[in-house]
Amino acid sequence: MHAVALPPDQLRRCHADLVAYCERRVPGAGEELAQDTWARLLHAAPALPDDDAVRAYAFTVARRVIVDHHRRRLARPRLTLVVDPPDATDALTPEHDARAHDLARLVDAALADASPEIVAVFHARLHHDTPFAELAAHQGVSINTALGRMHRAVLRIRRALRDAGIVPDEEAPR
Amino acid sequence: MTCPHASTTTLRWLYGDLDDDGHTAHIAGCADCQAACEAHLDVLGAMPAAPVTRPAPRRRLLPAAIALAAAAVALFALWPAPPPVPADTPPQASIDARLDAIDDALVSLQLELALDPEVL
Repeated sequence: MHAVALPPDQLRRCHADLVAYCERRVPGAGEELAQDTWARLLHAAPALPDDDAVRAYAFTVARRVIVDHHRRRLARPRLTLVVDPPDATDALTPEHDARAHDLARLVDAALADASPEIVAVFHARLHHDTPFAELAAHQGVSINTALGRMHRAVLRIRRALRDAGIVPDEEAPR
Repeated sequence: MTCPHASTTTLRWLYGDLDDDGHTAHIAGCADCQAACEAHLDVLGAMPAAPVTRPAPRRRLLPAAIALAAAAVALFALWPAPPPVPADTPPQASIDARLDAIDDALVSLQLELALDPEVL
């Protein structure tokens, strides 16, 4: 397997770039997410032709690791049993509420002229982590149609996020 | 964006609906699919987490009500009798004066409770 045969200096450089990428995506969790990325990459043990391929593969896996992180963060718990409620002051600050409110308005505005099906797919996937196959069945369309709806919703929202300066306009790492 | 996977299979892979290492290798070499992933990462990363629902702190209304009632009874029993009223004063005025005093005391107690519920 090429991944484990990567020369130490290249491995260190690739790891540092990976940590920086993950840190930019999820501040405070770069190292953890990079470690998770390497663990998954080694578990998959892909046959990669050269160092560039290892790097590209690692960044690809990192994207999925980061999405997994966000899915866990964003999915609303279906059942919450609070025995001893935590002091969740950090999650419930007025600043958090204001930011969440602003983003909700931005998302609503971005999807204002989208079809109800597009809006439904986006929210069901984002907040309930509903599988795309289930969404497609529910809407009576093919899975590719449901995926396309999700993608169109995301592109609209990203455009709005960029216009608002919330998301920078930058190239994907290679 | 020309790759047919960018808005289909790649999204299933990205969101964990597809376990296919072969597709990981495809994305690693496909700029269109990587751009699609980045778009979704941008949006997911910007979304705030759903607020944690917390049960409202329990208001101990029953003990407070009982305490207030007991205080009212005690006040009514122990409140010093008003000075003797002239014979021509109607009895109702005396009762009203005592009730007003009790009301004032209860309001004070309620204010205290509102300021420091732990006092009970």
